[in-house]
Amino acid sequence: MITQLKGGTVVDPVSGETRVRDVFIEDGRIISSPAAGEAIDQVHDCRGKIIMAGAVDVHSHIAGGNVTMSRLLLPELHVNEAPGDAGLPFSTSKWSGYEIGRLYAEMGYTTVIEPALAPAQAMQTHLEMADIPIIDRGALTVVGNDDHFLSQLRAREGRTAIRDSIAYALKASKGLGLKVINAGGPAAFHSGLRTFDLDDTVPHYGATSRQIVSALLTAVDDIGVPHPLHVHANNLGAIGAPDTIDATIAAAEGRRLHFAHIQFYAYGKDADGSMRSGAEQIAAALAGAPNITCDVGQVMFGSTVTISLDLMKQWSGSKFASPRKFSITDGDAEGGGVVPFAYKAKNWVNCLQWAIGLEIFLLSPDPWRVLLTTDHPNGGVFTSYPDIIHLLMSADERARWLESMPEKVREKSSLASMTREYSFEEIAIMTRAAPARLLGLHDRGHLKPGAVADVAVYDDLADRAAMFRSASLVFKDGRVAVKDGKALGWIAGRTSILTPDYDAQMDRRMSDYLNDRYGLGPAAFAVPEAAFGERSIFKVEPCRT
Amino acid sequence: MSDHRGTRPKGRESLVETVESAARLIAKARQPAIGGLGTDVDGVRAALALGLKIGAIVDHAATVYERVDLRVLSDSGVMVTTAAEARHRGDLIVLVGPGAVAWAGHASVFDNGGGLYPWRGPRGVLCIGTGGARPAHMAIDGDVAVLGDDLPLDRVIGLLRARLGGRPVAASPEGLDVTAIDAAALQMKAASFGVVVADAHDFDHVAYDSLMALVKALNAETRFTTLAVPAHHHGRGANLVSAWTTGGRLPVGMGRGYPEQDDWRFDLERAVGAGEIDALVWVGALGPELPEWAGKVPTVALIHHGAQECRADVVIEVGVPGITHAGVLTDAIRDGFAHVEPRAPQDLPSVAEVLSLLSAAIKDKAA
Ligand SMILES: [Zn+2]
Repeated sequence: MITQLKGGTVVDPVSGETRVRDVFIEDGRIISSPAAGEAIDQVHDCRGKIIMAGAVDVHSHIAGGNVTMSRLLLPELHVNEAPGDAGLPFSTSKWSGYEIGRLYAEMGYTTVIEPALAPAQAMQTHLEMADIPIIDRGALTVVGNDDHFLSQLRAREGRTAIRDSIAYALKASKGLGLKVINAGGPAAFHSGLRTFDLDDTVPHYGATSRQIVSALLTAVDDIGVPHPLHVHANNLGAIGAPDTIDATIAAAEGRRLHFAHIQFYAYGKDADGSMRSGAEQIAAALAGAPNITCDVGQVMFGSTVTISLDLMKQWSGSKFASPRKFSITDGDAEGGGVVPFAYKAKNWVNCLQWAIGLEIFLLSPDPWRVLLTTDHPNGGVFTSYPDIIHLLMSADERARWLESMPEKVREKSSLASMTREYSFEEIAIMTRAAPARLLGLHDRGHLKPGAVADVAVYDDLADRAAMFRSASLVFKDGRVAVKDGKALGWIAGRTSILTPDYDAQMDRRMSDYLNDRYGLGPAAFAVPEAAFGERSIFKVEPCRT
Repeated sequence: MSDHRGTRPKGRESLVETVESAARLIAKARQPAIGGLGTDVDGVRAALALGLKIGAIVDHAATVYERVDLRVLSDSGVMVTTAAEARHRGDLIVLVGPGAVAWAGHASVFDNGGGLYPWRGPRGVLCIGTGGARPAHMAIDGDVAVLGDDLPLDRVIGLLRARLGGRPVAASPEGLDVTAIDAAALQMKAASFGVVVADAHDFDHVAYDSLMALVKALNAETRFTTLAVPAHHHGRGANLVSAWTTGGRLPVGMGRGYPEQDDWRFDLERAVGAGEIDALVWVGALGPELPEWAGKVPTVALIHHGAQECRADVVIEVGVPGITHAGVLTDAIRDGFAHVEPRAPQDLPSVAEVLSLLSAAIKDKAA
């Protein structure tokens, strides 16, 4: 079966310059063109439309115990009020996995990464992800605050043992990459500490945050994880945190490192001690360190909920909960905190956060290294991506938003003077090619022959927000999944995972540890294919060699 | 319910016939309901899908867990931990109410001291409002401290909160010595990682909310958290599946073509009593048995192999996840989902299989 997307403007910097050309799909893959005499089964007229690969989100909290905790904590923020279309059960059930899949697909997103897969609760995250339709998924296994790993550091265990224990966690939890959250901070919170910096020591383990990050950076490379260590750094949201970013980059010593939601660290200090933009310091740090990538974690306005495994930050943030309630889970390693929050368009601090995020995009040295996220739902919901794209592509649109904001925003950030406008090519890199490559998903994020036929077709509207909010057509694995901005039905995506090797001794060692800790063996924590019945869920991606 | 015992299918062919009679019973209904919901993850998924298709009210039998524990989560939020953290890290276990004592006695969460954190101090135990009950099999360092054995829970929690907040109370409230309250408060403040254990069945939502507020307040100075006695019949698992499927917890009503959450409107016992329900699908693979209040409602019951006589109109024997077939269940020991292999495999249909057949046998309401 051959499908032709005819006459669209193809924006795909990986395969070449933007130009009007046809795109062909056969059996779920992109092909260069049909063989001579081969019949074309389906033609879609794409004249006047923009064609890009399906978009890839590198960091969005879409599944798992803490996400479901937020659903249970805040029923008033997601009251259902409309039935879904036929063939799309639960598609309008707000905050459900079904709604997540539909809304992402309708924007042309076809792969989304859940960034906080807790090994002890891996099954729940995978069950939830498997119930998110249309899109493909992956998840980042959270390591660095658990007793087993910290005990390894205390015992000064060697590089191979640490590599193997981390590989075990990654494989057993079926993750696609590795993440560390405020390295050592949640462990310190369990022991009563309320702040934690790069050179602070986790009580009882004698390991500093710096040592944790360093050990994990090495383990990621030793295992051959394609995605660099995904780092939620210390001091999130603190004034002066750009210094933490500088120090963490220095600690990486040239090794690959990805900063999650870097906007939340771009808060500089004004002469009077109050907050001002630190975006320039962040941009300079990025420019000077080609081994570093980040996603922005843009703030957008409205009521949302912050979901984080950074217990310390969530505890201190609970004072600002709106509505006034929160949950804190002291988990087997991190756990998590869920704190509702409202970013207000009249509040100068919230407006400054918004401006700082945009500054980071506009000062970005390289769209391959600065990716679009809102840290959904922490900075804003993922459905605000089209508005962010509009803001990046139009200085006038930014000026329009800035006009109604408090004067302090213009005083404390340089956003008003920035004239840069993102091109379609830069948008395609930042939302497709770069995240796919950064995750090691080489068969997507572009439209070269052989790529997965995940394709988004957009009407070329001057209102970029409207354009990217509802794709004209979305193909998932070559099948039409969305038409005129509406999902057509449930098709099942897959979850990409890594299955690294490690010394078999680690299986025995972890079995003993799990039995000591839980009175249960590894089977209680496993995520076997059989758990999903007839459904085929997992796609194994290669490690780096 | 009819006077005669319902028919049980023998073998797979008769399963199809039985499902067809079940489908006829449900298709006639104006307001069907799916209750019990004692089943694994796939069973709950299938029940919610069927519920949406037929516009049913769906609830789990663990209504106290929903209306107290989960309600307080959505009213005020909670601080919680896991059984393993409580066992290993907790240096003060506070058993609040008799249900907590009973659970600590039989669930074996605390029957050893936990040795993972060698720096932890001795483990103390404080019983609050337990009506004289004391834990039988807990590993404890020293004596069990006691407060307010004979006081109602809301009262003793209120007094404790007042003293923890430095507020005065009457000289001898309900016969309780203020110094005893202060001693308990001091013991709690002195803990490095205290864990309050409570069973929602001992509380109404106001008292449970007050207990959670007490725990949050303790965190201003030290670390304190809670461990809830798990819901029965996989109630937590069912509610979590509902949360990621419908957006929220149970019960839900789907008569409008989308899930709505409402504890009163969709309370099955109330709705049946008020004559609002005219067909009931009872899912009891993991139990519980069909309740008395199901009364005269035409009922299809999915019961587990070896269950007692069931007085439903249509009875379908299903397998039990973890016993006759594999399935995914929440594990009470660590509060997480796990895939469990069957201990004694038998060729019995799963709840998910039966509900899917049932769904297929019922024409779309719209059609
Ligand atoms: Zn995040």
